[in-house]
Amino acid sequence: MVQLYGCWGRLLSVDLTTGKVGEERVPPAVFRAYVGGRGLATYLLWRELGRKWREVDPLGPENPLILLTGPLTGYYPGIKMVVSGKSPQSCGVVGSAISSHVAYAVKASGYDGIVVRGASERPVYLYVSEDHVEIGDASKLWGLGGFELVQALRRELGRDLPSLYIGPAGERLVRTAAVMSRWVHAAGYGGYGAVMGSKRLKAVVVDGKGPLPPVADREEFAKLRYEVIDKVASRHTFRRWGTTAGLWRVGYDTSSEPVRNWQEEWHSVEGFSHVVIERRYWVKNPWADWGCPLACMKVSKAEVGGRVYVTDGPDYEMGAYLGSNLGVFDVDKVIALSSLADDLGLCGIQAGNVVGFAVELFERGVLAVEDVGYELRWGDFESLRRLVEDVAYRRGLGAVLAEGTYRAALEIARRKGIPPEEVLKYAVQVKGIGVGAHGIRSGKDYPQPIAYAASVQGGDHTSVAGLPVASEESEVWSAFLDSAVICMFTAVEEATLLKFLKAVTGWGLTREELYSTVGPRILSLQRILLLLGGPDARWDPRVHDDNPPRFYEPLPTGPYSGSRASADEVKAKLAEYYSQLGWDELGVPTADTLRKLGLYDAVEVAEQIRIELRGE
Amino acid sequence: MKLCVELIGNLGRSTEGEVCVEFEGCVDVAESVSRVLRALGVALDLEELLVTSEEGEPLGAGTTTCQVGRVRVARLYRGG
Repeated sequence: MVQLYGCWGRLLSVDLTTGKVGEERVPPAVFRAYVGGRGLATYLLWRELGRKWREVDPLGPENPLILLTGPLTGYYPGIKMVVSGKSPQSCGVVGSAISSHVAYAVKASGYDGIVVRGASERPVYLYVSEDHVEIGDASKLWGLGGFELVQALRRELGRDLPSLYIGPAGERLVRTAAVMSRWVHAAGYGGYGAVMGSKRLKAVVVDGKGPLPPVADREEFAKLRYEVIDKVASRHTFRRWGTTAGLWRVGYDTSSEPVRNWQEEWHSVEGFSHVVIERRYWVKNPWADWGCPLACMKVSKAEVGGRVYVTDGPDYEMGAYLGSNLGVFDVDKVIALSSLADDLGLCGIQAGNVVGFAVELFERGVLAVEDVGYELRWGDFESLRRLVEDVAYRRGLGAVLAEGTYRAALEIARRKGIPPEEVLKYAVQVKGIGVGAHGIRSGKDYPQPIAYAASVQGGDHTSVAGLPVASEESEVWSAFLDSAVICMFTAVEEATLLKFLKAVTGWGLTREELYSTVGPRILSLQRILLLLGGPDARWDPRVHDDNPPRFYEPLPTGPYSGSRASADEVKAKLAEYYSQLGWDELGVPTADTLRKLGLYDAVEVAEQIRIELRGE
Repeated sequence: MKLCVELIGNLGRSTEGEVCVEFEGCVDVAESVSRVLRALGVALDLEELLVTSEEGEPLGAGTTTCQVGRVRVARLYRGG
């Protein structure tokens, strides 16, 4: 039998319909082929639901909620895990990474992850330790926001234990709901808070204190760990300001930050930058999760309308999406909106995306007071706060926006009797997922012109596509980080990461194998499931492998005004990207590619997708 | 000494992916890369970049242009 290092080779399996708890074995060969985390989640979903993927309702009991670590969890500096399942946003698979001590605790419980199936009739929470699994009554916890919930769990369990949980948004199956941890951490992309809510699972508490699995080469592992810690700890700018520094870099410097629903991408730094936030709002710096030498998180506090709000940073994405994208340049109010999203269990990116979309529709007269119940204006804290809450609680127009920007656009067009494209042109999303706060128009930020158009995770800014495929620019790199599972902010050059992986697992994964086999295997399988889609959304690469229309409009302000995406360049780069991954001109993996990757059982499905797309 | 810097992705958008610069004597590679990027108008700290040998291997601290004639530079953070 092949010895597995760095992983246990077993998952905890919980069925909330029957209350049955068990274990599932994952053979070493599967770990070697898919690494763990996002890759393993994709494999598990394909194996379990692949043939009936289109019929599976992401918010139905058949869709498993998958919580996975990777082989480097607990060993590599920084602590992350991946939340996955069939996404209620894209109807594909999203590997949604979250920083959480739960990752370590899961591994220290003797599992590589937890798979939750079925749905409970009453609200429950799951308690997991190395020798005990319990499905507890969460009736008294249901309805609580994140901040109260963490306190209530502490009282209920008598200790402060690591947990993943949902807020009111997840309970109401809001498609932009996040799975949260420790007040401010979110697995936002994918909408897995809604999946958790559909199972009436309020929280997963993990009390693992056992050992981690053995590593293959203890001496080499210890050497590399110190080497990486030294490198990461020397990132002084990031350590001091975290991603909050992006409010200067991305917004002011590279003109790639969303401003007023992406109508602009540049803003001044006076009054709205990391330095202002550091001086006036941070009450704790640094703040880190278990084992992280970077400690990029900060705690900020502000008072608005007599209420005190606390959040992290706000980190760049929150500052951008709940700040500049809503026309809010008052830091107190950005902190308040960020804290509100955390408490409600909303993905701040998707919340800011859909609310910004609604404000623009209001500004353009597509929506009116009778649709919303009140006026919407850029920068108006009260109406924005109210709309964020309406989304989380599915009140009024909030119930439409709770479906996410793409579905909301279609519904608003239907209600107004106007062509969908007249509303979709203001929806800054790709394949049902609001685009992260890094634009492509100036060409000065990291995302390439096909970053979102070709990503198997749609608008996910942490999993962008790019050329060449055999480089950190491609989505292979993100898929690897999310599978191993490594925080992108503590990552180092690939040669060292591969040595680290070898020291822990014993696998001799080479650079060539990563970019030609392992990475493309994960991406090709994700791509097939994305193109299968369903039941309510299907993607045609000729239409949907594209940027939001807004990215083809010229930037109106800032040093790069006039810059925009070029449709010809996007088409040419898409063709090149498909070709380098062994996908055909429609972006469907070819039979030869799938066979080369060992995905024999996907050949027929890919052919069916190809036939459907060609209308044969 | 000549140092060629291969710029990956958007970093190389305006230079067809490569810039070669002549330096007098042995110059610290990290400092040289920093100068090249500043000249190209890229306002990034070295800590935001992955600077490696052509083969992707990490460069030791203090590596100079007399030891390495070609380096590869990619952006480290994809997000945040």
